[in-house]
Order: sequence, then structure tokens, then C-alpha cells
Amino acid sequence: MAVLVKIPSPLRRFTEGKSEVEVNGQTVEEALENLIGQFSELAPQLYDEKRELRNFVNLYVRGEDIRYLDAMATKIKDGDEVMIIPSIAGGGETLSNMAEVAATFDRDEYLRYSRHFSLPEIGLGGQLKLKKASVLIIGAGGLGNPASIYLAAVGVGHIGLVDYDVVDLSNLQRQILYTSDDIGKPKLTIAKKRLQALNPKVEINTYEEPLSSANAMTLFRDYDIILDGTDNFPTRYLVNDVCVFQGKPNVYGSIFRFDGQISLFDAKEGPCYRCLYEEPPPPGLVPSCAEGGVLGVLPSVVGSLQATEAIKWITGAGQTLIGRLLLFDALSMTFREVKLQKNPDCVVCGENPTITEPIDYEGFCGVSGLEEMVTVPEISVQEVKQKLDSGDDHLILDVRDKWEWDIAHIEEALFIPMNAIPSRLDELDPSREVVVHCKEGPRAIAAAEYLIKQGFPDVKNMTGGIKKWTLEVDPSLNLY
Amino acid sequence: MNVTEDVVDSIESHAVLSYPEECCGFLFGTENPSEIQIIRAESVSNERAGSRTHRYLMTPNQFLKAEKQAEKWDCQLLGGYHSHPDHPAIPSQYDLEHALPGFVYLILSVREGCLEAWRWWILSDDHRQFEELQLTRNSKEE
Repeated sequence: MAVLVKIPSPLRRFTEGKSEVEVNGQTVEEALENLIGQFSELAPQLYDEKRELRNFVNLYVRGEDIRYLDAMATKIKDGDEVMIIPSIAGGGETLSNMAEVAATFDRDEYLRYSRHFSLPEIGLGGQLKLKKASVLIIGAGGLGNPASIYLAAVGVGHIGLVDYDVVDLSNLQRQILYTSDDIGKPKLTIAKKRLQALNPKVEINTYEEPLSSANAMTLFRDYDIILDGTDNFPTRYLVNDVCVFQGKPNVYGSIFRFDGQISLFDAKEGPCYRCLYEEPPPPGLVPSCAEGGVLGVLPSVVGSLQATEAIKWITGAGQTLIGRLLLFDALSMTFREVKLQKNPDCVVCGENPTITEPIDYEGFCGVSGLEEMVTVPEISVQEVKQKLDSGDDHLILDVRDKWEWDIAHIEEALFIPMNAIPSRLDELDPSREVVVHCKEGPRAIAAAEYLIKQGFPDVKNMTGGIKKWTLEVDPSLNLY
Repeated sequence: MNVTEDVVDSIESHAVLSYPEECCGFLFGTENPSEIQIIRAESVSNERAGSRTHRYLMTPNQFLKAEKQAEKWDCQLLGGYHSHPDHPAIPSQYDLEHALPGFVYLILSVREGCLEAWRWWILSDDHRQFEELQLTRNSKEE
């Protein structure tokens, strides 16, 4: 049966501007299916996630509302007209609802949160969501400190802290919850006291134990959202995996020297950490903050951004970082953003996951004791350029991540991201000279050390990385 | 987003006069990729059977009439407006659940009978939230 479906003006942007479309079908349902067959973009407009017609959609056949006929099974015949006609409904919150919400705050809270109440995006409703919310913060260090301070300050009702360390003098350069008097005391005892003094209205629960595959499933269960403030790969993968298993969002943050990364991983709606980094780098390839150093204020920038994401996720305000990785560079004072894709083959959140419960993360990350140090010879960008121009037999090895390669790379370079080096050693010829570079140096040095230990006799670090190359040899490349 | 001042005046008085109930109406104008221009507003009655202090309804019949009117005026039916008595000019969850994609939503907040704010919104492509539209200019101020 050929019938005409009439399209209302706001939906014509999905039908190439057409106000009526001819389709076939015996029933209204078939007619709609065939319409969507022609204009697939219409499907999410007309149907919700549960494949039910959206509230605004009203369907009329021969001028009659199908709800008074046989609904979607209503028969249609040749020459009929099926009209999609919106109804427009809406409205503010009910006054009685708002009064109920208002009664859950006392006088002290009204003053304390008054700056939130006057933000329409948060207001009474958002503040109530914060009050009912629970956030588990992994690590009471550089990231966990600012994050917990802000989450307590804004009135997140239940905050959990996991850490088992004591305060060390070297922490005080960046861990702002602690003072010189606290050295040698358990971090959580001090943190709880300070946060409770900041806001007695919130509940602080402390878990003085290392997070492990044995306790993570139980610890996470009572919390709505997890904030990852860890500084090591085994815990980071553990946090990620358990969040995926329990369907919880994971506010990710990491810091190194002057650089920070922030994202919100929520496998229900976007990628997880493993979609971004399938496997950890081999042990020793990435220096920790203790070895590589970290700018004192950097963790507070990143930890505060993590708290911001947690607050937005809880209140529903704005757009979260789901599907986006934010990169902060304190030296150039720039923020960059990289789009993240969900990996359909991801072993925890993909279509056919192979990991469905916590594994041995220490083993997975190959964490072992300290290894002996080797010295990596340096080579300047100018020398590398000369070698390239003179046709010397040497190899430039770029060990950065794919997104960095896409921004800028040296034409002649071989690209093997750091993590992939151990599995792709056979692509490197030990008889040739190898010049390794990353963005500025730390990763290249670590990769070069690794290659030297693997028996490569002639490995050098290109001093200053691609950044120096761009500034001094090839300014046509993008700086980042 | 651009709107003429007499349109603004008519909508504002409709919202204030309807207080403490919600008012509603349609918005007409022209649209090109760079700008939406609202040149006419047409008030309609709030057809919601009860709870009109915090709910409104424009029926399919009213919608059809508005589309015909747009043809007559040689412009497009671009959106609708409604008021939020004693509630901010931001879309509520209920607004989101009933939102029509591609339709411009003007929301006016009326506090204790006085106009407080008015803001423009459009449903995001993923239907999960409203995005705010910025008013670039108001024709009479040029």
C-alpha cells in the first residue's frame, strides 16, 4: 500500500527538507519503519532508547488519532495520509516538589551553599543530588587532596577515601591537606579531620588499606562514582576494570612533570581507560612522579578538574568529558582535547569481554623491583638533520602515542608507541644506529634504556624531542 | 538568534498576565545556517487539563493551525515559548522528556508575577539535554 507520510516542519531537517514522503506498508508501524528506512536519522528523533515513540509524537490516519484506532497496528490503505503531528508539552518543577527539596536543608546549609543555590544549573535540585551522592576517592595524595577538599566543601554527602600511606616531608610540596606537623602520621586520619572541619555536614569514610583485587569490588559497591587519584598502573587498571564491572563512572586524572590528563570514563556511555591504553607500558618505561618529578601546583589543577567532572556528573550540569581526553600543559599553559573512541574489541567493556572480574594487576603490569640504571647517549636535532640529509644508515624511532603522531611527526621516522616496543622489537635492526624521540625526552630516554638493556648497542636520545625539532629544524610542523 | 522587540513585548505581557499559570505560544520566523530570526509570536491557550501552574500543553490541532499560519505568513514555524512561574528559565526534566527535536524553546521565568529572565534553548542532537542559544541582537537596538 502506498501512503503519504506528512512530516512536521521541525523534523524536515531529517528528511532532506521534504514535507511528505511516500512509503509502503499495511499498518502505521510498517509505514513508519519504511520511512525510517529512507531517512535513518529520523529513528532517534521519533523513538527513544527503549524503542518507544517519543512523547511529542502523535500519529493521525485519515484525520484520526491512532490511539483511538488500533494504535501502531492501525491498518492503512492505498492513498491514505499518515500525519506525524507534534504536541508541545513541558513546564517547571511542581511547587510541592520544590518545597520538599527546600525542607531538606537547614539554615546553616542555606548559607553554606548559597552560591550554588543561585546557579540555575545547580540550584536546590542539584544541591540535593550532591547531598545524596557518594564519591569514593582512590588515593589521598596530590590528586585526592584537592578533589576531596572541593567535594567536601560543596556538600557531597558521602565521601570515601582509600589510602594506607603516612605523610612524608616530600609530600608537602603538593599535598595540600597536610602540614609539617603531620609528618609520620597516617594520611587518612589527618585528611578526615581536616575535611570534617571544613564541612561537618558531610560524612567521611576512610579505608586504610591498599586497594586490591580482593577488596575493590566490595569497596566500590557503596559509591555512585569513583575518582581515581592513583599514581601507578596496577591500581589504575584495577579502578578502571571494577568501574566497568559495576557500571560506575570513573573520573580519571594523571600527572607527570608539567602535564596532566583528565577524562570521565563511563563504559555505559563511552570508552573506558583500556579503550585508550589497552596495555600498561612495560615496567620502567614510564618514570613515576617520584623519579620524573612533578610541578607542585599541577596535581591541584588536575584534581580540581576531576572534582568539577564529578560535580557535573552528579548534578547533570553541562557536558562531561565522556569520550574526550583533556590534556593540560602547565609550561605552555594550554589545554588540548582529544576525542576518544570506544574500542569494540576492548577486553573489559567491548562487545565480547574476556575479563569479567578483577585479575592480578601487579602481574599484568609486570611490576618488579628496581633495575640497574643505564646512561643514554644524546644527539642534537641538528646532528639528526645532518644525518638524514647525508643519507646515513640510521633509524629515527618515534615512541609517542598515536594522537601525538597525528599532530606532528618526522617524515622518515618509524612509529612504535612506547607500550608496543616489547612486542615489536623484531622491527628494529640491532646493527643500525637508533635515534629515539618523544615529545620532549623522558619517554624517549626510558625507551632507549629499555632498548640498550635488550642488547641494542647504538641507541641515542634526540635531545629535546619533536618539540625542539619543530622549533629548530622544521617549523612547518605543529607544536603541541 | 535574533528577535524583534514587539515580539518580545507581546510574549512578556502574555507570561506576566498568565501568572501564576504557565502560558504558551508559537514562534515564527526565518532560518538560515548562520542565524535564526524570530519575527512573530502567536499566543495559544494552555490546553493542559490541570496543574497549569507548572505544566502546559499545545495540542496537535494547535500545532497544525500554526503550521498553516506559517504558510500564510510565508515564514517558518521555528519554535514555541512557555513560562515557568516561580521557577528558573531553564528546561526542567519534564521539558526534556517532551521536547521536540529541532524546535526552538523560549522559556520565561516569572517570579511572583514579575518577569525575571528569558532564555532560549534547543534540544541537543543526542536528546539528553538542552543547549542554550545566544541572542545575538535585538532588531530595534541596531
